[in-house]
Amino acid sequence: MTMERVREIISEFLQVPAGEIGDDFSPEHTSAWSSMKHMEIVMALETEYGIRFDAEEIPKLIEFGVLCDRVQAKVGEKDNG
Amino acid sequence: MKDLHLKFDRIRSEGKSEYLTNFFGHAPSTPTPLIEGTQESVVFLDPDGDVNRVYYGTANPADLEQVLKKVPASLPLALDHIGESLPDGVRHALCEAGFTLEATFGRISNYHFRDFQGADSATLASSVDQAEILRNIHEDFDLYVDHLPDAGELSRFIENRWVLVNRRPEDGRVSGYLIFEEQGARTLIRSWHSGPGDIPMGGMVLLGQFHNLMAPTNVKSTFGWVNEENTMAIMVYRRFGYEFERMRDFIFSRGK
Repeated sequence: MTMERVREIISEFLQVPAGEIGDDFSPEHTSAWSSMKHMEIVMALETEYGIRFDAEEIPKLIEFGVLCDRVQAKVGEKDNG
Repeated sequence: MKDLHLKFDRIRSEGKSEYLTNFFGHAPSTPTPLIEGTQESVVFLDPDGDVNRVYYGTANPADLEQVLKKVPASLPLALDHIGESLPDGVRHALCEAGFTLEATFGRISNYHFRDFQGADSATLASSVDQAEILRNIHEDFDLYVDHLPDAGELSRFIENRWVLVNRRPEDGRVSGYLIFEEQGARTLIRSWHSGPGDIPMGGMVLLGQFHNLMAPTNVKSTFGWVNEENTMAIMVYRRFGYEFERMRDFIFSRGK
């Protein structure tokens, strides 16, 4: 469920069809994924899930699969703690 | 130069109403700056590359407007007013004298540093990078709005290890940079740029590595001036814990 919602958010921000967003989808696949868009996506996900990424984590989240994993981990940490 | 300071001092001490200025006593870059003045206002131009920075002192903004109108229209001018707000009289005088508000910058500062992992790709610049960085600065920034380092300053900054760069993996060319200047217990971020050709999230990497450099030193705070319309820079600064102070820089131009 989380993965599909993350895909939707990325699709909306980048104006890329959700079907084109696979696990390895990254800025290499679309010029729309600029640094600005990346920050906007990260902040949208933080708002959606009530989580917060550390500054040093943000540059590492530039792949759909990694982003999903980290969102799920953060949501899990929040729910457990 | 003593005469110039005396003119400002006289207006400050003899003026019949509030003294307004953007000049705090620095030495002009030329011994013979263009000066215009009256009993209530004085203006001088300090050349900065292709632009002339305007400094003024006035006890009467309406008079300041007239003095500014005497400055030849052919000269490209930039004027900063730093303060919590811009006095209405000064704003009116500048607009009437043909100036346009180009940008408003806010001072943003941070008192906490901690290690930022994953920023090792940002490295200190060396002297061989100087010409490329200088060229990039002039392409990336607006010489009216931004106080750009000249070649001499940049050389000194590189020598002092105050310039960080990102490089393109394919050819090693400089794709992003952060230039800072230690000022005693605090450090000013002078120029920070990461464009579309930079590594992903290159701006965060540069700022992270800058914090890594600052963390083990005696520097207590870092600060920078950020264009209030630069939402990307503001988002990143805030993520690192920076907060706006009340101080703002109102930047005007004429003849741009």
